[in-house]
Amino acid sequence: MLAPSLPMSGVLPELAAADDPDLALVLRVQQGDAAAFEELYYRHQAGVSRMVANFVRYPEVVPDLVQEIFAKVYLRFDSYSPRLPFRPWLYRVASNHCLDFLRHRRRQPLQVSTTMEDDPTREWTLPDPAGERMQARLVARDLAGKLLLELSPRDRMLLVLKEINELSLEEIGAITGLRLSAVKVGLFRARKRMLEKYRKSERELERRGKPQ
Amino acid sequence: MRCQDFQDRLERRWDDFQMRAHTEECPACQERLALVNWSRQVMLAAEQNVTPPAMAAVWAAVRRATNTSWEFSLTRSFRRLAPYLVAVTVLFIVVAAFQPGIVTSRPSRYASALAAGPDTKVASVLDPDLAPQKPGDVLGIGGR
Repeated sequence: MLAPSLPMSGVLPELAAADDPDLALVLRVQQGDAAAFEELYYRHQAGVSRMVANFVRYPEVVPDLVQEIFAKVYLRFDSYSPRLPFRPWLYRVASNHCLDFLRHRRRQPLQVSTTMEDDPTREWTLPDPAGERMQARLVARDLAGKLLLELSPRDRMLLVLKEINELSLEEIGAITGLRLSAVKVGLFRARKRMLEKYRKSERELERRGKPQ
Repeated sequence: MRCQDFQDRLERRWDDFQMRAHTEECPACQERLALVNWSRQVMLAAEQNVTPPAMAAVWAAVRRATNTSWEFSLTRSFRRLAPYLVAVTVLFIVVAAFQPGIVTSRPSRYASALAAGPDTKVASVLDPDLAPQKPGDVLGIGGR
């Protein structure tokens, strides 16, 4: 089940917009300055693209989604309130857009973007968290992607924002509408679930590898 | 150092002497550290890099979105009204069906004539060929 869309309003006490580096540009855009919007785009295009690509995991649709997100942002500037810094607001719009996309695409089977052949019997492993049995023999990009895809959209969103976009806990809270403590707990549980899925797939591989 | 402080610093990617000392004496936090490091490696392994779209493509999307929002607002208005239109139409049909007087308030001239039966007297004056016939005298020559 996909997570509901994130709330677009609400005061988030952990973040103050006073020292928002984007605020001057945002105000210019609100007065109709297209050049300011382009500057905002160049400032945030890489981060938003990275977030969308790693959350949605359909590389072929990422450019379209990013265009649509920025178009939506441009058309919604009138409703933007500087109570919230611009970047969390932008990422919140992006998150909701990605969730909508996944909701519409839910009926279709998920595909894993991979540069390698998808062979379930191939030997692979990720570094074991306990460090007891194995060290990294082969860190398979596509299988790491599979682990990420198996998580719920909410868990995946938290991990992508934290580990790939390297946003602060406060910003993640502002984007997802969660309190700081809930973000920490959510991240911890997402990691635990990812580890459980890894161990499950590892057991599955061992079971397949055993002679009948 | 409390475990809560350790976990908070861990999420903020701190790495200091106090934290290392704490992990040596706290197995739970040691496990948590391993989990965080492991998940970071997985995320880095899974990371996809894409090239952002050109600015011109974004402006094109803005134009498309502007047009779509106009069309959408029009169709949305119609979609909101459509159920009411259907309901009113159905109600009108139902009311009309249960009140036949509305449809045919008085019988027509031809219906009255048919109900009265054939006026043979009048017909025979106007046309002698339409004189009373015997039953089955289709051609009207039976009496001649």
